[in-house]
Amino acid sequence: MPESVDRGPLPSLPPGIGGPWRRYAVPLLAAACFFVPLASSNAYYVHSVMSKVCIYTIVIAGIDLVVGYAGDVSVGHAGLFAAGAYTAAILMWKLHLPFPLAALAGIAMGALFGLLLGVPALRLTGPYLAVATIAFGLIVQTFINEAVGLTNGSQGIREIPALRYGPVNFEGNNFYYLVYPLMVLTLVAVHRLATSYWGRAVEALKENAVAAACCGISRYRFKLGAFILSAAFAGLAGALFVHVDKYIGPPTFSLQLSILFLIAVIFGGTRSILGNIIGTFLVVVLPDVFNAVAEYQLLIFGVLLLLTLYFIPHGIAGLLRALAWRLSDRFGGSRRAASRPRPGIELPADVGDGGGGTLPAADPVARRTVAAPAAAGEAGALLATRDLTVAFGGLVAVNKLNLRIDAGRVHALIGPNGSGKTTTVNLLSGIYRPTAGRIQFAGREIERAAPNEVSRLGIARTFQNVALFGDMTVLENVLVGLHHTYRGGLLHVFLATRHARREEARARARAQSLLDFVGIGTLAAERARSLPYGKQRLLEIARALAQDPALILLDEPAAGLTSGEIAEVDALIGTLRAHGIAILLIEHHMELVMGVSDDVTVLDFGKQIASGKPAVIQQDERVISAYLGTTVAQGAAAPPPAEIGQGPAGA
Amino acid sequence: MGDLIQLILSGVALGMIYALLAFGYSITFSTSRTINFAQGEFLMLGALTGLTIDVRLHAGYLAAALGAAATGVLLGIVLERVAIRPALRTGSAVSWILATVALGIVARNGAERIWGTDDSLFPAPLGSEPLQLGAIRVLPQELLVIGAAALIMIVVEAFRRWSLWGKAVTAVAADNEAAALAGINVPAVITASFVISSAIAAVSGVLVAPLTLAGPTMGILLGTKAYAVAIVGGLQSGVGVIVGGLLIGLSEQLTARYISTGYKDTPGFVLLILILMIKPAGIFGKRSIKKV
Repeated sequence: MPESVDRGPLPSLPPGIGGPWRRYAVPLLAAACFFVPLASSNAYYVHSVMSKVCIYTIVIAGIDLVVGYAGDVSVGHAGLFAAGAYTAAILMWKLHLPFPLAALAGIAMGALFGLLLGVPALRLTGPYLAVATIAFGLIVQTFINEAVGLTNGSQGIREIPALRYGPVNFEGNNFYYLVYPLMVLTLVAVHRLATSYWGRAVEALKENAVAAACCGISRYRFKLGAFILSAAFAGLAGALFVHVDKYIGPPTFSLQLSILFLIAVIFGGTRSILGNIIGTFLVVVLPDVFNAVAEYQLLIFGVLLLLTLYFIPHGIAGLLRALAWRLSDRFGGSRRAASRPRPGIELPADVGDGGGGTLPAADPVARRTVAAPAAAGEAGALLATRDLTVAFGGLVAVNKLNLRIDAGRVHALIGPNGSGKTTTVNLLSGIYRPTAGRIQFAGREIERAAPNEVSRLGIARTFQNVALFGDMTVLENVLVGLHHTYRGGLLHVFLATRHARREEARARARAQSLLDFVGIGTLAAERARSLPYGKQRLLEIARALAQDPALILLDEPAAGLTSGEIAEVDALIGTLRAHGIAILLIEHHMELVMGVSDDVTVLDFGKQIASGKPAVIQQDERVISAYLGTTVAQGAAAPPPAEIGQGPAGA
Repeated sequence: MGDLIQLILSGVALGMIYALLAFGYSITFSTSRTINFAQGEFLMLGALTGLTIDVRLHAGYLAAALGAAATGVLLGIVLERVAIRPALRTGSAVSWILATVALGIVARNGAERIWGTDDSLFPAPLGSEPLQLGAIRVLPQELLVIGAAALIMIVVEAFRRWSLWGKAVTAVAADNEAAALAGINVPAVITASFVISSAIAAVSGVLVAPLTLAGPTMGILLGTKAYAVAIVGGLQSGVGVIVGGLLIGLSEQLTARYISTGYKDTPGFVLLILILMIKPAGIFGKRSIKKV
């Protein structure tokens, strides 16, 4: 999984500086910048440089959505920018459309190309988007050079009408009064999006695509959404760009421009408004400053990009934030310093009281309705598989499994290593497609459902090798699990409506109560990565519970835990059952399994060799020889070995 | 008729160059899941180094090819150290893509400073007079390209299949953690894959330059079309890159002939988008199962 191990997350601003900065300084500064043309009558500076900075910032903020938040690379934004510019210019020139309509068409064209590129290129992980966007950029340049009838070819388009509407005049320096507010709107939109549930979903996908999908997030939809939005911003910027020189021609929209955009995003600092603006200044202003070394421009930019990637991965904005932290530590006193997230924090000893409380009630609005088990096909079972089989090449990992889990019961799935337990969980959660057989959950056939659909239907899971979103906070991890409770669309997010704010507040309260429930409520603000192992497992359970599941698949929840922590998990499972949640428990810790389970199924080499009550299973000859061995079989009451994963048959 | 065969031969020669570059992508993709976005620039550096050796130093075409190969080896080592290894350590796809892109523009700008921005003629070693084979006239360089490209791919593929080093490469491609446990020096294998891939790119430069021209921007389109070839054929398929290369080389020649020379670069990219829509793993690719 692409997780940065030794770099750590982008630090947020320290609370002592961040609060007032966000609340007063940023809006004041933004308002003050609107009046830049009053301070300088230099037409070149205001019209050409400042307006260009505003327009490019719109593109770059959009690219940041793709590169910084979603973790994909587009090397073709110059093509999308060109699509917006040429669409607007041609409509104004040939059809004499007014600019606002032409600009809307430019945005639509950008978004359309974003869709056409994103749909095929984002289906696989890998360098596909980068490759497809490079190719797209070259096609666009070929097209605008060759389709002379439409684009005037290499001559470019000069017939751009003036932006005058009666007394309102956006010509000359006044152009800034049009582009600056649009830039501010774009930055606010990107910021709101990024800090909403929508941005969290995209980041979760970047950190761990499988875990995010199992939290009900459609990888395709959100990665594609980020790319299309980004393309729409590029289209808007392109339409505005037409008016900078009242001329557009093919050489502007080169591969080089796409690369410059990327350099701006990385050098300024991803995931930061300030970074986007700083980066834009770099690519717009610096070539003018270094005019004397113009022929070395790409060399300088290339080296700058490499140095940024290695030495300041969070860019200039990251450096400034680090500086803010240092100042805050020096002058802000110990109170602020204490609230700084530190890796490897010491835990208070009494933090864990897992399983003691009651499960916080789901939001009545959000609570899904799982069809009553009575409606289920297989005689009231919540989940039933029929001859479930999956083969990888010649290896049959799960062979004609008939598993039946009843509502509100704990069903253990045990067996030696390699017997197909985790594969079964992957089948049930939609990660693998079965080769044959059916899976029925709450009366529906789900063997063809994708992981995000399975999660939505009410099956949540944890992972054998903990799969958290390491760079997000503990609370944010649970909020990703609560993704399904958000009903407000993008418009609510952009406008920060009351509905959107209420929804967010409600989800945060619920996430906190879920953390309290599993006993790690005091750690809500920590990075998930910095939690000790046992707490990470509890966090995974809290994230699973956030999905309001009717069934939770726990894949070795006690592996690697201390005996005290295992007791917590034991109690937690009991509480969940008391709340009517069914559990499929995969575990090697036999004391836990035999103590907490209502039913046990035993697998060996992908085949079900026994199924029944724990007491019966413990006496089963085949189970003893395949898995349990004789020590445990002689008496589960006596202190058994903690782990018998390497059962006799496992060897 | 002879005309059409001539056209096909040109398409095949061009296609073999794309295939060579794409073959380089497939080698590094199999060991490290990364590809070099500066591959086209490495081809260009190979061609210009070769040009200097051949024309300025009068050392001949073979020396030019060897010099280009040596340049490629050096470039491969630098690339792996500077752009790939740090990114693999952090596991960030964004950083290796951007780092190789950055190296590409540094290489292009550097070449412009060293060799100038103009394109130069690269003398063809077997002469530039077309050979008359019955009704067909064919450039000897095209035959040389086709033969040399096939030879290079066969030798590398044989090495991969039958030598111990080649088996190490296959093991790393299948599962690099397991390969490391079996005592294989995984970073060395990854470095070797970049060295081979870059050397192939540089030699391709010397092969293709007599057919085109040698200049700092010659690599952009060639490198980009080779991505299309690699994806159309399947990033992990040896046969795939040849079929993909021929498909795109031929479709370009036919487009240039029957539609418009201006649009000659587009069919490869259109094919790329189509393949991603229909069969994203490529014509010869298999989808792999990811373990959770």
